[in-house]
Amino acid sequence: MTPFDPGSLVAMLSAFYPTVSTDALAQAFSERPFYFAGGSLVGAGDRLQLQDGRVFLLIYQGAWSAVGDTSNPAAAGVWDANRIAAFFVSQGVVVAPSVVQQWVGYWNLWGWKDPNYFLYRLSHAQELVDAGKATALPADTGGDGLSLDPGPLTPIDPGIQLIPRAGAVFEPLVTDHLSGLDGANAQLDTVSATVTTFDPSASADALSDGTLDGAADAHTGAQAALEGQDPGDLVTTSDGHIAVIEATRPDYDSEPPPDAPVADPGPPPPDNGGGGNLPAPA
Amino acid sequence: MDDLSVQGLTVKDESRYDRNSNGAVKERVYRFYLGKHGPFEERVSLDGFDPNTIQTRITLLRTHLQNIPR
Repeated sequence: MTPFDPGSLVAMLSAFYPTVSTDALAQAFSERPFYFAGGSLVGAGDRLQLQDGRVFLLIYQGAWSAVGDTSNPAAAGVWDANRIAAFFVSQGVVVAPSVVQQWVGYWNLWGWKDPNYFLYRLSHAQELVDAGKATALPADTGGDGLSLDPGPLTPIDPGIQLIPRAGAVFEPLVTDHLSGLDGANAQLDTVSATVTTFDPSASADALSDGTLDGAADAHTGAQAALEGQDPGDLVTTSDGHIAVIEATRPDYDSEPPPDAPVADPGPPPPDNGGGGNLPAPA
Repeated sequence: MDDLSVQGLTVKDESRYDRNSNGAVKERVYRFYLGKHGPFEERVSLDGFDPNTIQTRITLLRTHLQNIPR
């Protein structure tokens, strides 16, 4: 909805409709409805009522105007108790419902139809609070005004220890095993020194200093000794053993062991003549 | 004196139904502010369009805005 600007409306009416009359106003309303912000002409055709209820007098003393008109009965109905209460809440003051109703009565009955009446009341809001007719809303301090009531739960103290810590278990185990490795460092140092001090070039000298020179002769000697041995006597003696074994081995004459028992399968199932069985031969 | 320069100008061509002529009317719609006043909306018919029309209207509006008592 286009916002209503009284100055723009009056300037438009003055610029394009120099004759001030309700007919010209109706013509302007028809040709340029944009300036009237969705309102409607009410009363004698010289008043504009907006959708929020505000009424403006557009013809005043023979000239185009946009005067806030509160004498219109339709406008008076806008200032009801709910709107007044909401107005004061928006300004940070909560007014007792009975007081609001009283003001509405004053306003309607005694003709105090000036919206500024409530602004006047608001300007004296502190007096209302002091008189017990209104309650000031707390200042916006980051949430104090909307703080929650304490609930049934008690927050847990983060410093307490819910699960008691058991005694040290792994530390003695590690310590015991480490104690068994006492002296390992010295052994490692010895090995390290041995490895460090090993001289491969010196060890390779054994290949050339005559240490392995007799290996070939020893091999030749062993081979000759093996060739000089004849296993023929051993083979001949073994052949005679076969006859001895055949003569001394008796025939098998033990009783055969009994057969393993076989479970009785029971009687065969009766022939029901159907149910999946083959039909009886004709 | 308040600044009454044209601000926020938007121009759009629209076609609407005219009850008087019982037909469609093509218009160029100007929406703008004059300083802090507005919004204003002026429609210029594209039939026989004169680009100076809108400037004339803006000048008239500005003149009468200056005459409004503050």
